Amino acid sequence: MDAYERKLLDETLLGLAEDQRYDDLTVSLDQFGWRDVLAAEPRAAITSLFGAQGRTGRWSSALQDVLALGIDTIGVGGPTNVLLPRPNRSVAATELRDGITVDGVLLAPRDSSILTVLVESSGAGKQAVAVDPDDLVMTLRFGLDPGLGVREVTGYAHESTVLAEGVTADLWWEQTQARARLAICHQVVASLFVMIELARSHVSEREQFGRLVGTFQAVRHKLVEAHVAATAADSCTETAWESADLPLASATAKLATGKAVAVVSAHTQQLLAGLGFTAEHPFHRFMKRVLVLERLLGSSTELASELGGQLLERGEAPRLVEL
Amino acid sequence: MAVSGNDLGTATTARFRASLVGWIEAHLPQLEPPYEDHGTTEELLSHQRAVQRLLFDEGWMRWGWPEAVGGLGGSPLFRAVLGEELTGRGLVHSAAFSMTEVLGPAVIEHAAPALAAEVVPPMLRGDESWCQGFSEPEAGSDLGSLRTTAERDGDEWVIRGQKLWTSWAHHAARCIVLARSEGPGSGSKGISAFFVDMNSPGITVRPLETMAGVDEFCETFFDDVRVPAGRLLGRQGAGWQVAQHILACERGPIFWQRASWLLFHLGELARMADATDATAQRLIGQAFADVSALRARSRSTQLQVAGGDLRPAESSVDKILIAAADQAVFDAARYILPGVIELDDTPVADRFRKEWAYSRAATIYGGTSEIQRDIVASRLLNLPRVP
Repeated sequence: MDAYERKLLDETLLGLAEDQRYDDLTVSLDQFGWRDVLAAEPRAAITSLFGAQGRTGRWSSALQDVLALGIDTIGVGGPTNVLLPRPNRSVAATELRDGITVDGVLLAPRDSSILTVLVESSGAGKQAVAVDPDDLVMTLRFGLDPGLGVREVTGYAHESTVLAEGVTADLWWEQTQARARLAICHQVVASLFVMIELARSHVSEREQFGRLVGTFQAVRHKLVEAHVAATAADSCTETAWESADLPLASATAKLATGKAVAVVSAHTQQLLAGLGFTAEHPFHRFMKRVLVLERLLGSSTELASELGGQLLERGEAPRLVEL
Repeated sequence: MAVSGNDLGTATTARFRASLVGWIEAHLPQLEPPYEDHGTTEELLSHQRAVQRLLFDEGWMRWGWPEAVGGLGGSPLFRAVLGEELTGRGLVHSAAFSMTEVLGPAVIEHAAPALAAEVVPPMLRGDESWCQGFSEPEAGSDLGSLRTTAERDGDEWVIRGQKLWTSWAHHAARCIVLARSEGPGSGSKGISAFFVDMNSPGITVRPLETMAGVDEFCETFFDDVRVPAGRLLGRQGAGWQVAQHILACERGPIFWQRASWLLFHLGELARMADATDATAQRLIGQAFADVSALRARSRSTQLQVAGGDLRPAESSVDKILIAAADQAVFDAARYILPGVIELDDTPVADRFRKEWAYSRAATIYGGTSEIQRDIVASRLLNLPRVP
């Protein structure tokens, strides 16, 4: 995809996300043919769409499409949703003697009769398994951000098909998780810059003590801290795509993004003061969404330990990108 | 003299790196420091000079520099790659290897071409080192209020005043001095930059010790020091632009090799830590993300600097990030090496103690983190100016 085509894609997807006539962005994306673009140009498609969703505060089933991207490597025979582990967990199911206990989080699913789950099986390592969602209990959860369409999925699946195990399953999940992490990072980073802009315009107009609030150094430095953290996360996310070690680079990007979520949320809400706390100002919608997305597929706290553990095992701190 | 990789002029950075790494690995005995601890300033600079001479004579130190000053041409990114591969193996000290990049580009840009052609090659070869006479006792962050004066007298300038924090001035052959050439109160518009020989009569250097016991920086006194008019860098009164250029160049290849130096130490810590220690894991993971984020950000800055596109305000973000990453790495070291920095006298302790201490200054030197935040607030975020 050349620069002109990329610009066109950005404008088109942003236009779709901004168009409030359609409640369901997924329908607009399907009409546009987003899944074809995703299959042909995963990096451009993910960067562009999730950036647009982050800027506009919208959401769709596109993350399911990203999760299903490498599904042919484990041979699922049809459209599938992928179940995510709960926060603080690395798998969404465990295998018992004669079945699988499922406990995971499903985000804005597509219609499908197959649910793909990463299972921790006793003795055999991890397996990718297909289960029938009708065997499980699916409960809509509003939580902090009802707009994300989160379903809690629990229950006991008696029948299941093993799609992959061992190295094949690990590789599938590593690559799938990496792409999904970067998709989330693109969305979160774009939202963080919206939050910074909301705070910036507020402190540039609001006067107290006879002067603009944005002239106080304490205020200026808080906003710069937010900008620096978001910029670091943005750079990490963009360059991760070029890394020879996509899993490590995407985990690092997610960690940097999680750190930025903490800094930007705290500082921009503080600078917006009462406005950032009210449901009448748009700020809270962005803040809630980035906080929820930060907790999925590895929060900054979990990832610091996970990454550090990997580096201690390797005995080196590798370069993720080169000049 | 045979030049290694003599067909590298149009090479990609990847090919340059591959040739360079092959050469480094074949020359490790000549490149490794002869000391196991941090090294004294004399040891450190003497090793630095030896390495630079070898690199220059074999061509590596000349790639990426203009031919007019003894370089071999090719992408300026080669310089960043050279620094990265050397500091990333702990072969040279990151601070010592910075000098060529801090001052070289500004002299090439602002000195008379004949002067640059005369002085840059011995500097690149390590035959002489230079220092930077910017800060003063009364002019640190507020550099524009500096009080050292330069008065024109015939074909010469006469410099009077005092500089502070002049790194390695006691080992330097030349100094780039900022002095007020216009009247008092002329602010940043009344400053000129001079290229001064350190053996000029009237210069007195008094080394200062850092908190780590290293005689790294100095107080430098200028008592009626006479400097030929041809040593003016840039126009008279354009010293501020020269200084801005130097500060912007600091964020090019130097940050890239500094990041590599940080990864080198983080790798050492990863090998020394208890792999099952959850706190060690968390600290290493966090510091790694900080350094990796800096590298991700700095990568675009490297490409801009190599293309001659200096963006001082945007590079203030890089400066804030590198200072935080530097401190995160050596804060992690204090936990991972229990009591080593505080209680031990081994070579490893000496090394990490001095690096940890130096990292404390990362938020101060080259423009404090507070000054960088003010720049970002006004120039990138366009916040209203302070009345």
